[in-house]
Amino acid sequence: MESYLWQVLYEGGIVMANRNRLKDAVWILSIAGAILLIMPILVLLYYGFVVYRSSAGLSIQVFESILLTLITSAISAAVVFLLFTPLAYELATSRHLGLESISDIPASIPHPIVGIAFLILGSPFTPTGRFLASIGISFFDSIQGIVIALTFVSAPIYIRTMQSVFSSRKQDADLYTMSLGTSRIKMLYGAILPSLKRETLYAGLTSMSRGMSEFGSIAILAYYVTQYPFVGVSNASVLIYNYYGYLGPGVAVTASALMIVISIAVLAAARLFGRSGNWRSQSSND
Amino acid sequence: MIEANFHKRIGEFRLNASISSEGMILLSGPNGSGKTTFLKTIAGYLSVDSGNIVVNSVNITDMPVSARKAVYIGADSSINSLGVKDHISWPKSSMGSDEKDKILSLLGIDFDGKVGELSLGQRIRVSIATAIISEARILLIDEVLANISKVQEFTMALRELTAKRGIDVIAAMQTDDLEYLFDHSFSVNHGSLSRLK
Repeated sequence: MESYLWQVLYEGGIVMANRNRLKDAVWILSIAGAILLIMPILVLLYYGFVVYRSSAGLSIQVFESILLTLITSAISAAVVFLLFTPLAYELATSRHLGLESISDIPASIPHPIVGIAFLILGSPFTPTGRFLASIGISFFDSIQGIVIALTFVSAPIYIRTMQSVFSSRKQDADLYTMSLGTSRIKMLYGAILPSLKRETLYAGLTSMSRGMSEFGSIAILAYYVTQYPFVGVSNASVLIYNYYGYLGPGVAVTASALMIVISIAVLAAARLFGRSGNWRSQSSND
Repeated sequence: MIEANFHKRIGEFRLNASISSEGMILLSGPNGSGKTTFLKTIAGYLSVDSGNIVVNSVNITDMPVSARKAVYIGADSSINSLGVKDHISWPKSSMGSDEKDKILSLLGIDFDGKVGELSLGQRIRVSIATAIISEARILLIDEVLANISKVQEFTMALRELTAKRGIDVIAAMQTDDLEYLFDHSFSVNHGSLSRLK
């Protein structure tokens, strides 16, 4: 009975089955690291919902802002899926040092620079900007501006996650499918991805979660949106920064707590889908 | 008719393949002898360092995998997200439904359901049937025949189906127990092929 209880607690992630873990420095440091990660969140949630409970922090503007953040990050996750799945597959199945390095660029440069880069890319003073304007695309203070910035900054996490998923599979099925006369693109989208729905959803939600946390590039590129139905609405991170500067920490803390609850829900959904993914069990068996 | 004369090096391992044969061909040899490397090179997954691969007078050495019509079938060779009917309909084929039904019947495919949820033996039957329906020039069966129940009956049916359509079959196995079911037999050792039959 007692051993069963320990097993339940272990599988629930509450304690390790072996009580000697309390003497294990790696285990203790792991717990200390986890506490460091969770403590600011818990304090923020407590002060946001219990201590301050600012009505301005729970206003319609905050909900509009969170809705804009959810929509733009979900669209960017869809764009990332369409554009970067082939790249992730290519990196998983062949050696491409150049492509590997390029894939890491968004993660290695300060994000305000990403905002400035897209600002220049879409500027009417550059040939690229004039071309984009000629087909009706403007990045400045627009929903598409937010989407392109979020796509750029969240691409690496999606690419690396899917690269890991693809790498953990045996490639005999790929060879078989291609040798039946199938093109690689049909094989990828028609044969491989349908058998990796949970893993792909996990990678997409993780990418979306990363997009929801973005501030630097959006603050430069689209401080607020000038398009219907979000005229005058800022992304949540920008709005909270604004509230902190103009309305004080009380409002910012409450709005932040609300945003964190939404972000954790997306992350939890991603974990739920990723938990039973075959790539995880295969990795753990290796 | 397959005529393959090529060399392939992977790290310290060297494969020197020379084969000119047709029909049902057995490759037997222990783990690490080079059977899978040979089959995957024929399929185009691995490129040759030197030499040529000719199947039915067509030089496929530099062809991409999807154009060779050389179908590789290993233990994980199936499209698991599809149902059996969708699986056999996956490749382009000029075969009519009667002919497809005959192939399924001869290969003992009287079951349905999602391929990923079938037993290994059933998945292999479906994969081989799909390969025949794809109008392949050659089937490359890598150590999976032993997983099929009633293997003798299955192999006889495979022989009948492939002979009628001019498809060559190379089956790799660790032992030569089933040699009597094949037209030709080669042993593979340390990357070299030698004819037994």
